[in-house]
Amino acid sequence: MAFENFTRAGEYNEFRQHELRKRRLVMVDGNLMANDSTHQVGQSARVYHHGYWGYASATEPTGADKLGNVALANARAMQLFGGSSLHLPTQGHQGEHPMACRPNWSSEQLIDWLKAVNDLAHARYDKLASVTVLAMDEYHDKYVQNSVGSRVYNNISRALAYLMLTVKDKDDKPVELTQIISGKGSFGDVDMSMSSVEYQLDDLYQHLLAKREAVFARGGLHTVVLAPDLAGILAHEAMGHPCEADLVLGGAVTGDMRGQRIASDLVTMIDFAHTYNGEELLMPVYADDEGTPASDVTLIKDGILTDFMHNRETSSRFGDQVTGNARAYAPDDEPLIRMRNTAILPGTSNLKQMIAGVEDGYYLMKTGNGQADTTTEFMFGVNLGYEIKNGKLGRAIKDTTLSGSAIKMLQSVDAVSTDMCWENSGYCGKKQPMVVSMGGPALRAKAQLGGE
Amino acid sequence: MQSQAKTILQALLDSGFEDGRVTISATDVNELNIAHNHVSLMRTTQSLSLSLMAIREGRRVTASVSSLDDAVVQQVIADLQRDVTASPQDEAYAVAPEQSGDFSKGPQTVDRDAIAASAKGLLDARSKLYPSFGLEECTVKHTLQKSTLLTSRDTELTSSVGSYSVMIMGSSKDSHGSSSFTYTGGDLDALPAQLIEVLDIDAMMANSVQETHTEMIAEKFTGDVILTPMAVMDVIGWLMGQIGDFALLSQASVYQRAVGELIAAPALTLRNNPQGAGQSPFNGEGFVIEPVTLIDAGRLSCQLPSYYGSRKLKIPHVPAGDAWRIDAGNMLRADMQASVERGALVGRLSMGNPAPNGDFSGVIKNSFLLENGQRIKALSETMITGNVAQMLKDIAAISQEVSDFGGYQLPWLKITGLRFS
Repeated sequence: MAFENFTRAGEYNEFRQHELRKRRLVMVDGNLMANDSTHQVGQSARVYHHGYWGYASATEPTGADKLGNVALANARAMQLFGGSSLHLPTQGHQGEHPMACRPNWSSEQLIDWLKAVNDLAHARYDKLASVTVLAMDEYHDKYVQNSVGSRVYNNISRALAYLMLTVKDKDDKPVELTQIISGKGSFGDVDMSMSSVEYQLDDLYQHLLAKREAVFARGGLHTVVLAPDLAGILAHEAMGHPCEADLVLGGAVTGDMRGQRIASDLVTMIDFAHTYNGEELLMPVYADDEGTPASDVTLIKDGILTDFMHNRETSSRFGDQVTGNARAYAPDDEPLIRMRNTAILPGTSNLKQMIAGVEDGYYLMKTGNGQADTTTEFMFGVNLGYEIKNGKLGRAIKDTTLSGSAIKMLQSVDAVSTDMCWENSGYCGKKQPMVVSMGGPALRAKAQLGGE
Repeated sequence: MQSQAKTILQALLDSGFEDGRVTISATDVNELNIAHNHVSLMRTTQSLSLSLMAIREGRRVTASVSSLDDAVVQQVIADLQRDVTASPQDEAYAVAPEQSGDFSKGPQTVDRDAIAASAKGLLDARSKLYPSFGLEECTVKHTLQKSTLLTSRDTELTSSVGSYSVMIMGSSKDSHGSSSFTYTGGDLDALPAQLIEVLDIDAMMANSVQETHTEMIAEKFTGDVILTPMAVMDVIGWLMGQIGDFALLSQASVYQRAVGELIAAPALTLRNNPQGAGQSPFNGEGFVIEPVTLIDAGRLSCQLPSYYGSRKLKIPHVPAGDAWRIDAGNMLRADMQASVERGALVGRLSMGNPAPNGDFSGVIKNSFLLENGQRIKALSETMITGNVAQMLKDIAAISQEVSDFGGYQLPWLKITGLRFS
């Protein structure tokens, strides 16, 4: 792929060439259930004309002009609905942003690694019922050109592994926990060493033995300490989605709250474009898939709701600066407003002291999936947690769900740790999936837990 | 397409593989998008996919690319030869044998005027009937997928499946506040004159506009839930996970040895629905979907491993597809609601994945408190806790009314004994 000849069409238009390569290998108790690779290549054009967008894509090389004409025809076909045009922002970006990756692992190396992890777990843990090991990587190469002069090459890559251990409880029911190893770049960039794996699995197994004896959490409002691993998903689900400008236009309660206090003054939350503290982040976006130069968006500043994340159209509707949050997942996807690297910033407290300060509550350590809402009522699954009694960790709790109004919860935050933990292992779901990263410190707050 | 597939399958076998599977799919999509109550985007996409599975000396590898170009095909076969060597040997690896068929179903051409008219009708109905409901995101699209699947064991399948599909997500906002988002959607063989009359769209909007003023429950209690069809899908999704490859191969399924046993209330009969709109007549492995009654009067009749999983575990292989329907029950929805002493009408379950043993706790969204048979108020920040396997056994009633989402056809279920907090 390379930049192509590009002709203006409509009031604004763009052309994207997109290559997406993925691998997925899954081993369950030594059985290789998946040894799969996919390679998608496609071109797409999008045109804005008289208030409507038209889009066209093809996996066969079709060319910017031909696809642009189809997209323009699609935009024109909707003129029957009436409407008026917006003046879209004219910022463009020229630049090439490859990700510096070490040489990747071959499938043979990965299968050997899966076998080694499987053998290690089965040999080392006597109560183990099953082990599943999964390795996945993906590479996004995009060339974006548009009618305001952008010419951008972006590469985003990530590699990750899931290590899932299962034991049986006293009733012979399965109990499981998962450890995730992930990072940007290739498997060559991630610490996949067996010494690191062994350390992480030993820790996971100890938690799993505790979880075999787990008790139900008590349902209701509790003081909870969220481990640094969980603050990122809180940031993403609880206030990240409600600060996406398209969700705001769709009726999210945040639409009427800019400038208002929505969190404790200990809370500052930012969607970073590419860099934090001088280091490139896990999902660096220097220019988005509309060719807009990407900038950081401060969503919450010292507890005050500040800004929203925008694409070209919503920035025009709101009269805000365009932020570079328009991203497309697959070659045939149009760009949508998506988060990039969303985090709550660290504070000044110490995690151990935060736990020690809780008389009766819960320490929550690992999560599965989560979901946001227009009301800011969020939830995420909790797969590993412990009771806190008189400042000390107690019994493990069974899988539960943390939920509540994000605004109420963030207003109740009374301690933020100095830690900062980033991860990029999951997919964010909207109309399309998306690779994102999230981060944060430990937080202490009040929230609802599901349970007895 | 078929001749190309035969050529590629032969090239795969000529390169030294003993068995192979070749799937070529060409997909055309015309999609109209609504955002924030306005038509916003028209998309046309054309995509091509070549998927290969190859076996040599008991080792298996799969790959897919988006081109049929000779150089691309040669490269992917070379990559398969390289990657197969590391795969462990497993005699359970195999390709689908002796399946055949040439299928055509659903609308084979797009009617873009009908898509536009449907969108306009939906927008008009929303603004007239439910002006406080906002269509945040809605797609109305036509998909035509032509596929050919061949294997080295005499399987030869072709299909051309067309369908319209609709997805709607939105929420309500008025002087009381904002509701939770809600959604519905499904597949159709033809677009109706009034889109709001299908896929439970009217009911979704009617409920949503009553959800802008919500309250929490006053105290914890144990009560009943009436799951709407969209929430019933979550229960079926968990069940499918339990009787599929991962749970069965890792011996972690609660239904590991439950075939023939009563796993649900006797009122429940669950069948697959291969004739549903948009459903492929054969699965990705290359097996023609056959009619299956998965749960017959509460009794589990089979498990649903893949062909590999069935050979590995030496259990029957039942190609069932992804579409399901529950037989209608004998109670009217209104009577079902009237029978609830204390509980909730649940539109959506927002929760983490249930634990492997079925334990879950989840936030109930788009839901209403029920007391003494009456709908009292919309709920917020309310959670229910229970066990999904137990919920199947605790089904107390199934509605006579069944909602049709194309693939899924589901009634309302009344389930007892959930803990509210």
